[in-house]
Amino acid sequence: MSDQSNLKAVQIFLIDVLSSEILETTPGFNNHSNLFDAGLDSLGTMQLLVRIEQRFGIQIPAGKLTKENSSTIEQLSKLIADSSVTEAPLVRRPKQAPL
Amino acid sequence: MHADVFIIGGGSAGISAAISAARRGVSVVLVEKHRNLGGMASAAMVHSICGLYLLRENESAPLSFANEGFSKEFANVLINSGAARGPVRLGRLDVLMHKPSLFAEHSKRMIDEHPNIRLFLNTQLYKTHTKESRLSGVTISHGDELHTIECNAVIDATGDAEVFMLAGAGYDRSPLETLQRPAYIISLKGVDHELMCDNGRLLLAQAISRGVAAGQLPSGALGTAFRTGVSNDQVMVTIDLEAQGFDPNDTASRYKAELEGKETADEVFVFLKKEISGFQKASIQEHPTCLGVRESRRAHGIYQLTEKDILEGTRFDDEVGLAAWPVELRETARGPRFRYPAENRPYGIPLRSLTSKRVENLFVAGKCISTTHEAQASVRVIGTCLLTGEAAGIAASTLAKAGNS
Repeated sequence: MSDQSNLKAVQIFLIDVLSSEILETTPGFNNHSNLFDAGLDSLGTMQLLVRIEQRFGIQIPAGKLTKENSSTIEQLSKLIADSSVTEAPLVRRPKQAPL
Repeated sequence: MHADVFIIGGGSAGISAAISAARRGVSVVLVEKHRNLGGMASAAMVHSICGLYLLRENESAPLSFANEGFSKEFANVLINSGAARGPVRLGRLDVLMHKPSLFAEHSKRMIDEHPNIRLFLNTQLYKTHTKESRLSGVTISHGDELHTIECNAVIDATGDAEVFMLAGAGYDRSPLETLQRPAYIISLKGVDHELMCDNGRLLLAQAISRGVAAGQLPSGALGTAFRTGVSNDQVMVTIDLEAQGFDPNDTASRYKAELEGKETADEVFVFLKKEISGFQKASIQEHPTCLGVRESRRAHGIYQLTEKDILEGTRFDDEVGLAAWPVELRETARGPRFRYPAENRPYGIPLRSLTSKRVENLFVAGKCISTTHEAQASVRVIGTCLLTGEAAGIAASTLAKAGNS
């Protein structure tokens, strides 16, 4: 998952999840908006990580997620694209189960 | 027994109301159900005072208190005595972090400075007495004893609009499924301070989300947030609870949610101690006395504040001060959803939203003043509760004095 179309798909997914499920976004929210200024806190981050793992089956390696490299959707999508698929699936509940 | 002003609820609103009324020379009875003063800020261990400062665009803009009155005075007492740290910038907001036990101690000390305040701790409201369209008195239950107190004015600072409920003065309740989620808060000691920086907290968020995904933690663990307390060696852990069907006005439901909070907190703690090296020396310092309840009944006042008032920064001819906190919705345990006012403007709190529509000598202060569900998500914060308490104290003492003469 490293080409441009995949990156675009990840970005569309992130915008959708963040604006519909996690944040109260305002018009103009885009790939370059600062997520922490938009209200993303540790609770929102956890929801986002679970959704990313459910959707793409990947884990961002521990310690790789920093405020400096994940403050926009553009940065976050690159981080996801660079992360490998998990060796063992960690999601042990039905995929559509509510969190 | 007689009181010019009777105040039920010894949280931030009740303390502020009692001191403000007492300073105007009236006799005050203050009643609190817990063994300490402070309400949510002590018993539930809510450790940040929000709504004290005007909103600002960025960290380099000047910071100022929203109001000059008791809220600023009380904040300075906490800051100058080392009971509070800050202001601290959290996202787009500035808050004051305080130590819950010291919030209670300073509140008690300030109340005790006023010989015209009679304080009852561990005491419940039992009954209200109505004469025509006024409250003529209340009966309180203290231990095995019932005391009836005649009063000129009453302030409901219960957070639950208990007086409004008992006196038939009217109240609203949000449907249980949209009610703001309650929180369970504990304090830890011995956590490596490095973990409390931005990236440390991201590491903890990653660990917990993995623990949940792997089935090692319950999904409720996703409601966990960490903050440094007043001192660097203290970490406050707030868990927003899923608490399905939670009813803040039902004792059994509160107990069930408290149990859910305690179990989740214990599981998160054990998990982090095992998984994260900075937690190896950590221990749980304190559990709360009660659940942090964000929303309960909302009193019927002459004016009901709305979300539109907040987002447009509405000002009123009869405003008692300014509120400066966005609408902070916590209808799920998945994190807050903030709605900010245009240009970060503060809004006014009209005295009419603190004044009963039906009972002429009844006022309300704190998180249950007259608002819609959405507006309550802004006014509930401690800084605004201190403001509405002060205003209700002044209004009630003025009315009580007029009644005496």
